[in-house]
Amino acid sequence: MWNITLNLLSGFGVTCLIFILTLVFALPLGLLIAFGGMSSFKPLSYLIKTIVWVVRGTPLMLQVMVVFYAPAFLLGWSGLQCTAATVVAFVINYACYFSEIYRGGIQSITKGQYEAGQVLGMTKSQIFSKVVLLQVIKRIIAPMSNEIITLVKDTSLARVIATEEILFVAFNRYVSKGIIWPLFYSGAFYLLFVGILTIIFNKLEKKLSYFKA
Amino acid sequence: MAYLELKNIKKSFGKTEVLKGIDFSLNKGEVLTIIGSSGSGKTTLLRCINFLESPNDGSLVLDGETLFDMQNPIKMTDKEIREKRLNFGLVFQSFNLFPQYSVFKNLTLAPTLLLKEQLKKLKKTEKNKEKLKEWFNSEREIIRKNCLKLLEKVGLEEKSYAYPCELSGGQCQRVAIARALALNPKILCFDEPTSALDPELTGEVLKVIKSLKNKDTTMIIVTHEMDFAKKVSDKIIFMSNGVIAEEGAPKDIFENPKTNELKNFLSNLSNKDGE
Amino acid sequence: MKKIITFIVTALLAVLACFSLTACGKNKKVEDGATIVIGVTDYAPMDYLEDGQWVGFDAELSKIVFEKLGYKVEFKEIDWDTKIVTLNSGKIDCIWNGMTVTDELLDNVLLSNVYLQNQQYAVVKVANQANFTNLDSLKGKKVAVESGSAAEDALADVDCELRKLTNQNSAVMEVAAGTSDVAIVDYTMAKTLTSAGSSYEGSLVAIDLGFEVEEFSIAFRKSDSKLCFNVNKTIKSLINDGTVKELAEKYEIENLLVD
Repeated sequence: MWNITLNLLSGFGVTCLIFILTLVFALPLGLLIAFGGMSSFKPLSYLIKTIVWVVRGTPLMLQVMVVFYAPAFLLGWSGLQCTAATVVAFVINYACYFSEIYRGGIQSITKGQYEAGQVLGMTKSQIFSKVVLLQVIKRIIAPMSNEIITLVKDTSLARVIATEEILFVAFNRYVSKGIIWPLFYSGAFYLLFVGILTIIFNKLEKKLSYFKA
Repeated sequence: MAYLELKNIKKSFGKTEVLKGIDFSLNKGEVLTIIGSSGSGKTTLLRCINFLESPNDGSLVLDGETLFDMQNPIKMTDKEIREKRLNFGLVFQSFNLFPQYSVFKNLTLAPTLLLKEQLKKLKKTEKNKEKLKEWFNSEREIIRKNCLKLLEKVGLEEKSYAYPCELSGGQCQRVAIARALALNPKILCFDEPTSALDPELTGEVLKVIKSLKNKDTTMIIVTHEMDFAKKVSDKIIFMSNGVIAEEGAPKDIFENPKTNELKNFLSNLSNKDGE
Repeated sequence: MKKIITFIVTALLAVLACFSLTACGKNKKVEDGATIVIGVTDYAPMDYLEDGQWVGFDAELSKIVFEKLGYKVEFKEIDWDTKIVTLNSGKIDCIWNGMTVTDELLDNVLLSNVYLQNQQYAVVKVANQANFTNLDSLKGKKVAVESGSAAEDALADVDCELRKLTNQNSAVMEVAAGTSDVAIVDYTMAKTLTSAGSSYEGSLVAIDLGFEVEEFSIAFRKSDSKLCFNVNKTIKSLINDGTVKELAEKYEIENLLVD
């Protein structure tokens, strides 16, 4: 039992690693993509929109496989390790989803807020960081928490390229030997993780409830 | 030469010509009220003055400095526009307070940001860091004191640490006025400051605006409050279909209208009052 | 609209073309003295982890063979569903994991000579044991198999309701859950899953229904014919000098030895 817990924990470590790295890179990248998509430079915004369409329009599992195998097939380059390939695919995928949430949040802020900043002599970046940003954050917390909780569970898709995340460990170390219960045990790890995230998001939401936006 | 001079301001949105050539001038310390029916171009004119719209033609001279001249257009950087914009303050119809900041922070935010920019510039030349820090702190203290004074002026000093969502509409608009004043603009503009307020709240806002009137404060007010316009203005402009149909002292405008447009406008108003 | 459709079709074709031009990866050749990456899964008694090391019949035999040929050896765990893609992409250099020869493999990779025999076994509930005696007893039953496996091939002519799952474990799980009547899996798998330590111990049982004997083989990329040839030669010598038999006895699969 203890041994199985340890083994599942090592898989859970990989799960957490994928989760954290995806967040660290996809959160800022998503913002860049959101700005690119809203750019008045048409070729850029069309390019971004096409990329977002492709990424959101194909299964994440397929994207993971493409990132892992495509370099080898097309260039003969041995490519990325499975965990690295997983993270790359996840970052691209989630950045696109995040970008749409950002875009919705940014565009929901009234013109008046920007103009108030302008007539008070603020620069564009000051208006964004000092005036708009916190209001956007407040508005996107709910959809973001949804997406981030989905991310926790999507990490299990990394299994298709034999990334040793927790579900892979449960399947390939135990179920394959006829020991089934670690599979359900692994669900407890996800539950715990998502529970903690839910508490964090609730706290954050509460913290920003002092103003209406 | 007048303090503010606008010449031949034209502005179109697509094919619709909203301003068809506006000229007027204003002396320092004067209060100008712009009246007219909805869609006559009042708000657009105010937005052109505040660089929120760029006019298709015309020029604006303030205090001897040409802020824009579309006959000799120069490419202005964002920074230049920003500097020129600071000559004016604008109070919006819908307040546009920053909801995430307290009343006090709403006032201090912009001046503090400007101060920080100055500090950044000074850091390049001034080696003495201690001295800079001292200077920055004293300047910041001045901003804080000034903002407190302004809140007192609009009668909201006890609401300093309240958030906009906790205030009534009238209180919000008074904060917005104080916020515009915090940057000490040469000309303060109001875009229908009471239109979004319940009737019983307009009084407190108009009282505050009236109290600002002195020899140093130059104001341009777009409003539908005719009684207020009558009392506070030195000069009234009546706009109709993108042109100035009539202008003059309050007495001339209200008691002796010359054009049919103004006569109709005023009689419609009094009919409404009679209802 | 026409333009858009043309664009989409062109884009899709371009993507397809890219993926069919798999020449680069497929042409990769293992160089002399290089490290051979062996694709494995956790599949006792052929390849399995013990204290972080890969052991088992296949793991030991492959190490002996490749070291004799002057290569270094590295084991890499793979996803069994995508084993062919993984091999052809060059991420691994061979699959040596108790793999039964199937038509799909014959088409896509180069297979070594047979080094062990395999047989399909049925896994059923102990209570139903008496109902399954030969291939005819599968008629009309719900039968779970791994999709694309040798078991699926073997059942082609049997009149039964096939449930095609992603792997053999799931097939056995179906029987335990009652969603299928019987699972047809490799002999080694059937033995492991019904032996001591398994969740199914005592509730499921493995039965020989008399399936035809099959063959275990090692997969290489088609470009590695020289390597395959050398491996064949080496295994033959190891069979002759008794090393293979010894290993089979160690892992209790001497009944799978090639006659």
